[in-house]
Amino acid sequence: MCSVQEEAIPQQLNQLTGKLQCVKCRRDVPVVVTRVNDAFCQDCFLVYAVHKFRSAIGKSKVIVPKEHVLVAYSGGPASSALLHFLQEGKKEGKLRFTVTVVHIDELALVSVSDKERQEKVQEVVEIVQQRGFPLLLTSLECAMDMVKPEAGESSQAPEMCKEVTSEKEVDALANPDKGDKLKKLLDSLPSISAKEEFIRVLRNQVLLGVARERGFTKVVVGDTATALSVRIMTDMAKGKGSQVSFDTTIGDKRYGDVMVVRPIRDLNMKEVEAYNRLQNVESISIPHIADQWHKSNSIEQLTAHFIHGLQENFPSTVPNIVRTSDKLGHQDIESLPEKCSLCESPLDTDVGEASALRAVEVCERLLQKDGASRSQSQAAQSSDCTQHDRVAADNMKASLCYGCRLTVKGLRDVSLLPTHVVQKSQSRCLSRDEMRAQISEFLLDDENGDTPNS
Amino acid sequence: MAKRCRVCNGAAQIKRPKTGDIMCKECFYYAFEEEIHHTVLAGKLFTAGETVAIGASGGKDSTVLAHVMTVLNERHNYGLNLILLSVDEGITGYRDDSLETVKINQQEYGLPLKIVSYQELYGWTMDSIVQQIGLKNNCTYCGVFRRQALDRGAMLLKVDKIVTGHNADDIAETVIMNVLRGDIARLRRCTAVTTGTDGALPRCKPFKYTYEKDIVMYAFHKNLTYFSTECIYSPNAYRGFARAYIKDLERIQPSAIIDIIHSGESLCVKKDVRMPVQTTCSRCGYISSNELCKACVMLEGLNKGRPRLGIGKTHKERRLFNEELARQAAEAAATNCNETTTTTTTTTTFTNSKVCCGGKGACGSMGGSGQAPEMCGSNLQSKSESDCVGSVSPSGGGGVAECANSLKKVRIGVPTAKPNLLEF
Ligand SMILES: [Zn+2]
Ligand SMILES: [Zn+2]
Ligand SMILES: [Zn+2]
Ligand SMILES: [Zn+2]
Repeated sequence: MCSVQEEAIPQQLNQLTGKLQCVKCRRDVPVVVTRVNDAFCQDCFLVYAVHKFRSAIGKSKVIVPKEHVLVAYSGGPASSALLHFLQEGKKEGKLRFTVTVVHIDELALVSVSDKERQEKVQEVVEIVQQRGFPLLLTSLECAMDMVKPEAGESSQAPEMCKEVTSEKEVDALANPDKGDKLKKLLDSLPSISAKEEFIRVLRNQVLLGVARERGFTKVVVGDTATALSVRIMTDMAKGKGSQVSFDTTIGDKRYGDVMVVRPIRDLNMKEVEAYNRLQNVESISIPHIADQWHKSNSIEQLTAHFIHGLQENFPSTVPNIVRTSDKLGHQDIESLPEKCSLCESPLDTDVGEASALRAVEVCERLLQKDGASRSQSQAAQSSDCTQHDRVAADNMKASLCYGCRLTVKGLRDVSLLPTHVVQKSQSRCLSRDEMRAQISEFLLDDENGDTPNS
Repeated sequence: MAKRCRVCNGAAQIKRPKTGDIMCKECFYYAFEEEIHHTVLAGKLFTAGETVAIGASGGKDSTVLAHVMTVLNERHNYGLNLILLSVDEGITGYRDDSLETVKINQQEYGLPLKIVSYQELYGWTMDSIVQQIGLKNNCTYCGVFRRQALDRGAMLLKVDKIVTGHNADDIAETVIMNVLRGDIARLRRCTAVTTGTDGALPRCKPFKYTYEKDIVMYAFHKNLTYFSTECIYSPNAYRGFARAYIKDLERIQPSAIIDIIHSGESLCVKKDVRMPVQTTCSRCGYISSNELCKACVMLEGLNKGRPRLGIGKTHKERRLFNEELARQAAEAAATNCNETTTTTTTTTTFTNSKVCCGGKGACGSMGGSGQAPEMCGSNLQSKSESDCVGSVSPSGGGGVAECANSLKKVRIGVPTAKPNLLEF
């Protein structure tokens, strides 16, 4: 996603080569210029990059020795570098945890033939096998239905993922039914911005789902500093300020049972690309639905463009933004705050009267002020079905965080959302209804027709 | 076919910029005003009987603010005494029209108007500053001085609060800018509807959730007289980037501005992050995170003919200046600590720090126009003040707050300041 211009580095190097030595060893010719404009020779740069990766894991102590972690691999440059770091660590016997790789196939969203789809997945399998790690395959559409089987019920639910033990086993993971459901949902989301956010949330859900199904408590992802700075700004732009800290910290604990770990967050995209070039690390270009979107329609791409532009002129941009997020905290997870039924982040909608959220509601209310009676009578005339839909939509909205409300805003039929999300939003209001039932005799309701005297 | 207002079903005249709703003018005015009323109520901005200064620049934001505040004060019986307060930077020709505009507003709303000048507050007009420093950095000066001018002017008027016309667009820009700059302290502060509650004169932003485009729409249809006061010099570069970014965002997501403000409001700062200690300027008493506030550093530079002081945080000259100051202060302290601080010096100093202290109602005697510039200028280094500065500067930033404390103690009339000072 991050389109850092390849030619930028050689250009700078031409200016540097011959004029300077490596800042580290003061001996060899520099080949890489890092973000602080330090010119490193090949050896020193590789040491620097590996050190950034290892010290992030070492210092943060987010992974305990002998732990078995799930590593997300998309095929892109960042996660390809991540796998290489892990492989090198393993070779040197310095990796104190074991790794299983997971790849999410997102090709259901792109019009490719089954054959092309299999070929792409095949490429992923080859790379992961080269690195010597076991691989689990899953697909984005899996997250359209992640209803947990009831305890005691025989596990009829289809598995979230499957192991790939030999190359031949790469038969289509595609689940056509769920794939269609996903496509239908995306088509119903009115904006690119909503689609991209939904896909991101869904991707997260798949990772969590696989981790939970297979008993992993850590998911390692390849977010670079560049990607994180884009994430931070995108979160801010999309009303997800409360999630900035979770989205960017080295150990994201918001889900409780599964932690998301970001060990290459101290390397920027240029550094990762330089690493890949010097180490001949292959990455795979897989067609993605986002390729078709123009940057002027996608908040994430617009933001990426904005930040890369700034970064060119002000090299401290990315570090500054990441530094901002490092100083941010989040809601207390221990207190078990209510979570968004879509993205599983703590709800950020319990705000006081003096807030942006209330200001928006007041604005809407003022518009309806005189029209309220009219719309009520309209509602009364309309069929029970639409009434039911409206209640469902209201319940759904109440169960979502500010950002996810934006995402599904304009979605006519909330039942298109993933089954487990719909269930969660219903169970939430069910429990409210239950509460109401329990205290019903104490609720004074004038409109209750069955008072003894009537 | 005539379009119908979505609220009252009457003939519609406008499409509201914020929501895209088709409305009649009256319904738009009402919605616009009542949203601001909600911000006032929800943020508990005022208490009946308070005197509130409206920062009036003659620009659209402050003109509409003066109008709406007058309307709401009557409609909802706020019980406020409203005053218009304008700042004259002393730029020949530049303010003439806008001050004229403010004077028209004054007549329309029947509000008292007070104009304070840079000359009065700092001893320098912007024209004389530009003469000395050239055109390059004058925006920095103007910005810093303008920020303080309103507070200083308001304190002259002995008001309880200031309201400014900062709108939702401004706040969203500031949020983005502070994320880009990694300025966590400002990031935390910038979404507050009232700032400066601790010590300084409270500043409120009733337009916090009001879109700029709505303000323009309101001013246009109400035929309010305003003057475009865009700074003639290029605005802050980063703010320009942030503004362009938000404009692009709005095209994709019309609610982007309010979304960003929501984001800003839901940020929380880690407990272990050290925030700059907000203290008061040791020279003028204005709220500051450094020993000297930026205006005083700049004035020092101007008065000493070294105008580059205070531009850029780590500028060599500023560092040298700080060292020089510390040395001077240490010398003064050395001679002073052994002497008995005379009551007269103490009183003079603290009267002065009272003047600009920012404490509500604490400022007593800021009368003559000559006094303020003197206080912020170079020559007021009364002994006990430098005494205080000198004793703490070796220990770094943390000491400044203590220094301010001991100042406070004296101010409220505790006579035991001397032993405190000697303990260092
Ligand atoms: Zn070297
Ligand atoms: Zn959410
Ligand atoms: Zn109307
Ligand atoms: Zn000062």
